Amino acid sequence: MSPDPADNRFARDPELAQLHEELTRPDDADDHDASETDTDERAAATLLPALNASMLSPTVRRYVTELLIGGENPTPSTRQKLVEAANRGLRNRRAYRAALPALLAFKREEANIEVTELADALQVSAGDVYDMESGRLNVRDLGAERIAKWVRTVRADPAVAVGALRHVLELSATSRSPQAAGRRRSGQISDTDRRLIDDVDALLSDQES
Amino acid sequence: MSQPVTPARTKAGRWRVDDELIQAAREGKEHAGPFLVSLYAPMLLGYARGLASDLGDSGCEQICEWAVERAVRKIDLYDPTKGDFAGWARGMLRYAALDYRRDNARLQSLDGLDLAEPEKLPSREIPEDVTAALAEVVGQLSEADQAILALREIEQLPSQTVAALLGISDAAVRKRYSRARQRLVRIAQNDQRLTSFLRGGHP
Repeated sequence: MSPDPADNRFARDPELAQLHEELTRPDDADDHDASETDTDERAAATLLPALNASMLSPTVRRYVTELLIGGENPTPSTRQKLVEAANRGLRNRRAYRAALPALLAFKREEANIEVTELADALQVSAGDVYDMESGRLNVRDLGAERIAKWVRTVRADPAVAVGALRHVLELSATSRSPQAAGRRRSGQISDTDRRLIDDVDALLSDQES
Repeated sequence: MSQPVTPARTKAGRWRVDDELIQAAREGKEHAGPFLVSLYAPMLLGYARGLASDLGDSGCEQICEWAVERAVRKIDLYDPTKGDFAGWARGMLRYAALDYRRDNARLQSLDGLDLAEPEKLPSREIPEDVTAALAEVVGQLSEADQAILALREIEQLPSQTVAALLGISDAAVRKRYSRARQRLVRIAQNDQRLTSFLRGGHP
């Protein structure tokens, strides 16, 4: 197969056009030097897995991208599935940046756990679960054991959950007066909140070990 | 994959994801999803078919879905200094294809069928100084050699797919690839860090 003379994919970029021409130019070198020795082959097989895009020249990186960017247009149903996949990724990102109630609500949905099932596990009403997930119920009023159980039931990552607990406590501390929140200075949470975080962390660590 | 790129699709800016869109995805903003899909779905679908044509239409679509979700979830890991977003997204697709093959192999194993061909994995961990030496060696190769190695080794495309993309024969691709490997090894043999590593030792 010889290069298509009508192939003008890179006509707008002389550097890419030149590289493409070099790659597709008929090869007049002898065949006999094209075979690799076993030693060469072993060396290449050892080194090449470490090859990555950052080692390539900017022109080569651009060329590969332009060569592969065309692809094919998705059908409407495939596009819809891909948009849903992207949205799942975005929801996941929002949840992981969120305070604890939003994270645990997301994890419950992700794990397909019914509200009633979670309510039974936590020995609260379904209405309480909705209040917990929406943030209407203050996490401080739940206690460390119930928070830890909530985290475990929805199978959230303990470290992420503890971070999200700290986040919600910081958020609510800054929305309260310094006296009410027991803050010593800006950016700090109260000793009571600190103890709650430590207790939840310890309970989740116990469960892990 | 075999569909040629049209000039309209390579207009400057059309396929460049700007920082704002990446930032929107990082912040989990809803509008980022459809935009990213519009920009990259054609490339990912075409790439999936080139990379894993044996998986069929549904398999390729599935790995694209996984790749898109993974790319958005892990977008914090994208480092523009190491390559463009398109290349990074293709990396996500390669992981997704690997996951798909593993899942499939597990299912086949459960069904008592033959296992799928195992994925080739690097046999040794590559230390940082060896990676740096390899980067210097790659920098001494011609851009044509770099490109053929990139398509075969980094993008992991079969030679037939590369041949279709370039518009040359499969035999020509194999020959160019073999020569690029040889030239890389020849240059590497002049670097003490690499020869030591290849002998099995490490300074």
